Amino acid sequence: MNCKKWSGLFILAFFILINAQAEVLTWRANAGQQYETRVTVKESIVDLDSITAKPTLITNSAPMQEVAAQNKSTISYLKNIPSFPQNSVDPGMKWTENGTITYDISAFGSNEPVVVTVPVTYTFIDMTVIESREYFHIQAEWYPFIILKSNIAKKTGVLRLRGFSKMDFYWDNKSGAPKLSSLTEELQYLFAGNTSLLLKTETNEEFKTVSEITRERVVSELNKQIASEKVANVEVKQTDAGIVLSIENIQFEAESAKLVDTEKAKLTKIGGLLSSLTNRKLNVIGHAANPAGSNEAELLTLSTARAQSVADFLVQSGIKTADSVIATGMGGTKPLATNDTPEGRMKNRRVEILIMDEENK
Amino acid sequence: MKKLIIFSLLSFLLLPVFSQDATVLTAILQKEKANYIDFSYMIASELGRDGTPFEAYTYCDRYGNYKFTDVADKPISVKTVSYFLMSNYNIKGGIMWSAFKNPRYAYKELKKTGFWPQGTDPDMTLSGRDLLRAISRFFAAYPNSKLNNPPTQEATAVQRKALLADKETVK
Repeated sequence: MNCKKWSGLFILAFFILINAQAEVLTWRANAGQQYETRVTVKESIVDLDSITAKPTLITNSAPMQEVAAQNKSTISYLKNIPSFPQNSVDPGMKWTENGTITYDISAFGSNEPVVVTVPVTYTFIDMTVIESREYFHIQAEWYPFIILKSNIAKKTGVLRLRGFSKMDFYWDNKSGAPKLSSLTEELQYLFAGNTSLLLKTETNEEFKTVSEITRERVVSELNKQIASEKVANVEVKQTDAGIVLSIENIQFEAESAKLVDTEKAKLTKIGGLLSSLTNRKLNVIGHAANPAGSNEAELLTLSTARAQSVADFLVQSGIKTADSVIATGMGGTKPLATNDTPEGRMKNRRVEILIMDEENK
Repeated sequence: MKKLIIFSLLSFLLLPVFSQDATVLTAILQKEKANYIDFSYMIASELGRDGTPFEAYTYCDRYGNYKFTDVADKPISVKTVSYFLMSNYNIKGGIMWSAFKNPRYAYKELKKTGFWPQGTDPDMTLSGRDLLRAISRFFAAYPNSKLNNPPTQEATAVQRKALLADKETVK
């Protein structure tokens, strides 16, 4: 009976864990905001025994996030690529969604673009870490095929377009946008007289995601203010969870969570820096030094109390409201340096203020 | 396990026949239904042509044996494979083939020589492994066969220029 109870609990915990990890992929948009994008385009024509290539074109563009999310594409002639299933995805999973491609054939004398809808097959390859953040690595493939209407074929001399396209991209689901995308398109133009040409286009896009753009602005602004206010022992860095303001060697009264007066003055200055981020929630995280022989439970209690003390100070000073600050203790589990030296312990004894992204507020 | 051994042995024996990317050929071997692109890639590989599978497909499409309305990833039939091989490798056939030169008679000609096993249907499709076996069998049966030049002309300079007006020739 006892065994059954435990296995039931285990199964329940397993499903809770699975559901906690389940993530539905989706496009997101910040109205009025733009991506910062670097686009590299290589084009070439493959004939029977020759390849004619255009010099690689590199541009910096800034597509509107709202438009990209509506079109489900950052490339102007594609729509609904990439698209995602309604349910969460697991590595190895495949799904198919329709995408729309618009071909410009004005070079052959027709101003009417050719639009085709094709099934696009996606494969979720794996989770990939790029610059310490995790992205969904996904491949998409499709085979465009269009027989042109007789009047357009007569006008342009193009009878049929037939192709193969492959997109390899890394999706940032926190921002709801791609991080990197590599699109290879091969398109065969069949002309009257049965001659044909193969146009190959490689388009690589590197994006600064919505979170990255916003975080970079905030980090830059905070660094400027820290320099001008001359706040010591404070470092600002980006992490996967958000921006972290790390206050090293923060001083409390001995064996207590009570801030010493000099630290209150420092926190007031830091509070000034944070006051402009009105829409952001803060997570104040306490860390303790962990020299040999320490009691981990005691360190956890102490670090939680110290984080709470900083959070209370921010609320009491009117910098944040009580519902926008939480306090967490990590004990000595996340050291930055060795606990064997006084310098190392000083570094490890710290409070971090995690400034959460706006979408997590 | 038995399947794995056969597959590994087949890959080991047949891959050296082809000069191109072994990973592409391995992927083709694992397919339940080989398509036009897969067949074209094998033909281009045997020719020693470099390029992507779709490039191989567009090259082979120049011979005019692929149906105008067929998509590139459509599974290729036994009769289309027969038609391409009979038409473009100068294989001599009977009166009916000489007179009509269509996919069905191409299939019949190859079946008559024992190239296609008993029970093969002209409309049936082939697995990647069966396609590779068939092509290897073809080059073993006709060791002196050589692919003709494509019958279609190059596209005009105007058409090329229309697509890439200011391109520089690099190769």
